[in-house]
Amino acid sequence: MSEFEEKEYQSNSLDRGLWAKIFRLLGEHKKHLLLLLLFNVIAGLFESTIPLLMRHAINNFTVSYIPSDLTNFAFLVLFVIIVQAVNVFIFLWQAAKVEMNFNYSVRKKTFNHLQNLSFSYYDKTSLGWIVARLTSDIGRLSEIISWGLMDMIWGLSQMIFTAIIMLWVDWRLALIVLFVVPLIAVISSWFQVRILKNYRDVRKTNSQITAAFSEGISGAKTIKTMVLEDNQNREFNDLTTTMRTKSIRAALLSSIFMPIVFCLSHFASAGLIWYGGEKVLSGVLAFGTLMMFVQYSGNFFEPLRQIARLMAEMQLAQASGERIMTLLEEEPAIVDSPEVIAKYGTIFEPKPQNYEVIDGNVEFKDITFYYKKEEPILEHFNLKVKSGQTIALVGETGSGKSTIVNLLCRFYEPISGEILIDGVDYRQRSLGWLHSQLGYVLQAPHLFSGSIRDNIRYGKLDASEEEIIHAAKLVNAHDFVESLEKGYDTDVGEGGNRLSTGQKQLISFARALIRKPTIFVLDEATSSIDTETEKIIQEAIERVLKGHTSFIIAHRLSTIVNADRILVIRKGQIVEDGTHKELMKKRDYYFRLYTNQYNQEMQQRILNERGGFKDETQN
Amino acid sequence: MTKTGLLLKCLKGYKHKVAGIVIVTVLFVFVNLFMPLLFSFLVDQVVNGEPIENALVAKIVASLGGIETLRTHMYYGAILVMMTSVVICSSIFLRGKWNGEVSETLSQRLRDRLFHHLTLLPYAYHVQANTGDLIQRCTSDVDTVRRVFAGQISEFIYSLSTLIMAMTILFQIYPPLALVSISLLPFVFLFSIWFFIRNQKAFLIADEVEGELVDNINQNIAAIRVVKAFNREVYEAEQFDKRNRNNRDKWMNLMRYIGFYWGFSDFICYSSVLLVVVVGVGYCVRGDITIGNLFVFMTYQTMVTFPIRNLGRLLSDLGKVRVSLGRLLEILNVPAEDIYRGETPELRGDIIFENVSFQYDDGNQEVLRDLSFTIKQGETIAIMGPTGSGKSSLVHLLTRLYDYNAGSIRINGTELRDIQKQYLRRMVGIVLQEPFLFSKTIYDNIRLSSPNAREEDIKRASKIASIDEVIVEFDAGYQTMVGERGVTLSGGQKQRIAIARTVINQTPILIFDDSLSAVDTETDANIRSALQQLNKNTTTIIITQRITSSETADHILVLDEGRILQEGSHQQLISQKGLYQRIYQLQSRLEGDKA
Repeated sequence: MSEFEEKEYQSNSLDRGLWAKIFRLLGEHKKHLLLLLLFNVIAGLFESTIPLLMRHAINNFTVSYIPSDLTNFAFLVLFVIIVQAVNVFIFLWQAAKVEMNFNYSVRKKTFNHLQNLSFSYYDKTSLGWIVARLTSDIGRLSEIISWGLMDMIWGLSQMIFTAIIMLWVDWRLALIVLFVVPLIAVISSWFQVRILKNYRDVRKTNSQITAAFSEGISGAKTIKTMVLEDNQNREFNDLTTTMRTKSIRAALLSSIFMPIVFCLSHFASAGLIWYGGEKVLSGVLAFGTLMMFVQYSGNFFEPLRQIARLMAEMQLAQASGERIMTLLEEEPAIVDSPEVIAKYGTIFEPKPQNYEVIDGNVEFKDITFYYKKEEPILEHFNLKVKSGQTIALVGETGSGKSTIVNLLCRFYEPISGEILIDGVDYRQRSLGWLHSQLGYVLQAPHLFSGSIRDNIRYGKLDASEEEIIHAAKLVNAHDFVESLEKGYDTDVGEGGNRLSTGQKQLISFARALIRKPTIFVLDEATSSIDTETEKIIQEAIERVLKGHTSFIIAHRLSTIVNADRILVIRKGQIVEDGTHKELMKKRDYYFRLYTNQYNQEMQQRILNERGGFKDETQN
Repeated sequence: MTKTGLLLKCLKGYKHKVAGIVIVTVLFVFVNLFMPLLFSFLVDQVVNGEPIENALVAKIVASLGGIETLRTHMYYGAILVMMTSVVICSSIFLRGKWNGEVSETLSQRLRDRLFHHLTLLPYAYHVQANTGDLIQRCTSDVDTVRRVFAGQISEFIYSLSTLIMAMTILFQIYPPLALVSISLLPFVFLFSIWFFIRNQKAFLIADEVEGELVDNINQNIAAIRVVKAFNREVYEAEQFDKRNRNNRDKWMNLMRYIGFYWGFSDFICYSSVLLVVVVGVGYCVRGDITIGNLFVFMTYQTMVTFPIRNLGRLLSDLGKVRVSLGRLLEILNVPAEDIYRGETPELRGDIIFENVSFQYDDGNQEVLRDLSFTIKQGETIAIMGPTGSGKSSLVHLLTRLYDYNAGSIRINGTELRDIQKQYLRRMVGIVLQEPFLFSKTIYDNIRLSSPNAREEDIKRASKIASIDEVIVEFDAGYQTMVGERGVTLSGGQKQRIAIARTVINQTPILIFDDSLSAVDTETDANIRSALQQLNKNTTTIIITQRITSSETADHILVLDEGRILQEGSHQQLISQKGLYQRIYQLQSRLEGDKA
């Protein structure tokens, strides 16, 4: 994840158009933002008045002491302090409100947008990239818009107030102090840009170290058997040495920067003492005033440093903003036409009352499809399936069988030709219409963390307990679920990882089945499971497919022996088409495939049916 | 090793810099506090002409030519300020530099030590290890320790010595006012401690809620195809909105506390300044203290109260270090394997097993029982057997990933237990069942254990493993990156690359731990015949579930429950009643069907 985060950003200038877009996103939070700015300015004002008031007290009351005046003064200052405390509280809270609300609304917007994007987007974009957009980029952007802005305004207002007060009291002394301000500003921005760049460098190396640890731990067995210990340690040491060098450089940079700026502000103080001290001696200046200036001369350092840091951070935030905007502006590849939307609604505002019930007749008419033009996957492909038929697709990886079901599910659309469902081109109806009547079991049965019940219910959100149990029974999952300590309440873990592969498959069948889909698509898992579970799953599949128009991509050919039609796909063409019996008689490709697989399956089965062979060998 | 021991070891050669940090910080505090005194002196004695009470100051002034000289040459004062400033600046610089050097050296050594130790931990440890937890320890716990030395220690010393020195000076100037000035400090301190302890939970909750949110995003994107196929976009959006809202509310709630903390502690801090000013004015009017003194009091008050507020946070941070060090020691205190000790005899590949038994440390059942057999140099032997029969354990013994409990294993006459592990593993190449590839180029993955391999060696190894034709098909060929940033390889492709990187070394003994299972039968046969041609003197052990793989072996062992059930050549075994024959018959029947 961090790798994506650290993507270099080239431009150093601010992109106005982009920031305009970002501030448009702020929209509804403008009220909080204004409140934040207002209280911020007030707090800044108070912060610089408090020393002024104290100074006033010392200068006046020590000369002419009137106890009641002092008491009044104390109450006045106390009042100011209380108001200031409330101010601080309010503007901190407002800043948090702006940050979190902005964060919330941009995340929501982005997340919803992601639900609309098509499969093709997810094919080319990695999970890590998307997650980094939704987490760190949005986080960084909202931080800079709230706290960054706040610091900036705070610093600016403090500097301006201080400058005004100084100029007002004595402009000559003020000029001595203000003389160093531009110097500090230039130095600060020079350093801050470099400090930030170094810091990013360090973080990048840090994520490399984390990756190296992860490899060292996951690959420990390999390292051991191949005697790579010394090798790996050397490589790791190179990495930590780089880390050390870079980090020390970053630390050095900050530790040079601070003293230089300090020195400059002391320089101003020294100048004040020299010039001002002589003025006081010659009686032109009150020494209280001199002391006030000495105090104020330190007030410019912190705000300037803050602003310089912010300017540098704005560049980072801009890169984040750019990436978020790219994501938000990504158009979904598959959209319904306006006429379809008018009748059936959108994904987020569907009109299910207008959905026609699918009967299940499917026709592929002269379909051509490719990802890259030079590598066509399907060319002029035709297929007619009658309602209720079970179609098995068999073929090597890359033969086009997955593409056929993906097109059927409209996860992709054909480049040319049309797919008719019950005689109507499916693009004349909405995505929601098709997907709400689809039962789909993916090759990798991805479950959501939560209970088994929740996972089955995912197929039908308002399913009753009976329906859930019924579905589980149909797919032979009920028995194993009941045998678990918590039954249907068992937490399946992240991605369902607490269940075995076979169990996950059964739950994902139940999840699809509970929808009572009219079209069923099953992409069988390749991963091996034990014989027992395999039998259970095969039974389940047979039961599940009955009565629906269904498509199976089978890896275990034993699964599809009873299919109505088996299609052998090679290079995007149907080369064999018939029942298992018919194809076996042909003694062609399917026959070879089947016998080979059968052979291997049997070998494994014999090997693992312990009891069976032991008896024999003992005889 | 203890926590202190670990720290001392990792700080070796840098202890004087740690001391330096302490000294420089104290010096900084001292000079920092001196600055207001200097101003007070310049204002009171030089400008305002008040008498000098302190004898030491009087002496210094006299040596500079008396107060009059200072008065006529105001730039002396300015120079004094600049000199003080130079001391302040150099101490800040040195502190930052040393902080960086110490903390970065410490964390490098910790990381190196951890990594080194992890590579040397026994195989058994890694079989059970929780990867996520280990990585967490190696990264964030190391960082917790690093941060202490990167600044928290000097911050702590800064706050503490500011408090002590400032109070000493104030008590010397005028004890009654000093008492006033110290009176509110305990409140600031206690308030900040109370706040951080109380809110640790709120922080944890907010963190957790954020973790849930990230989880939700992760799951949704990972399962986006399910979401779309099930038309669950609206439902997912609602679920996400719940978490998103919860996350927002928890953080806003936390920030309200934090806002309250800053507001309230600002209030106490400023109040203490106000108190000093009000009471001080009274003393000043009575002539107990000078105006300059009052300035000193006021300035110190500001200088002390704000660091005190930090102490609460620092203390709670320092507490975390103990926990982190403890977690690191849990790894470092696991005994490592000694791969460097032992004999390095010539190993040609004659292996003798004599009554070997083996049992895992945590198991209560023998995995291998009383095994005896002999393998001659250059032979190929196949081991078959059901899952859990002990096949893998047997070959693990041969590379000393585990040591046998009873009996004897000898390679060319040397007892296996006496052979240096590193040497042994260099001589015995093993391809694991689930090979791990590193996120490097394919080229670098193949030459992993032989960095000096030439391009033609790598090419030849790939050809033996029947993977060359796959690699050259990739856009970047051998320079293709493996893993997330490059191509995703299929199980069979990974296995073949693992074979290539093992055979490149031409070890006298070669073991395939069911590592041809993800490769189709034909490729399997090609690889085996290529190996045969490569070196006739290599002893090869193949664990397999396929009869086609064992057919060509010189000798076949059939294992079950840790014992040898059947043993002999292919010809012998197919004429013996038993498992092997059954599998064989099945196959020939099918082949008969085909014909």
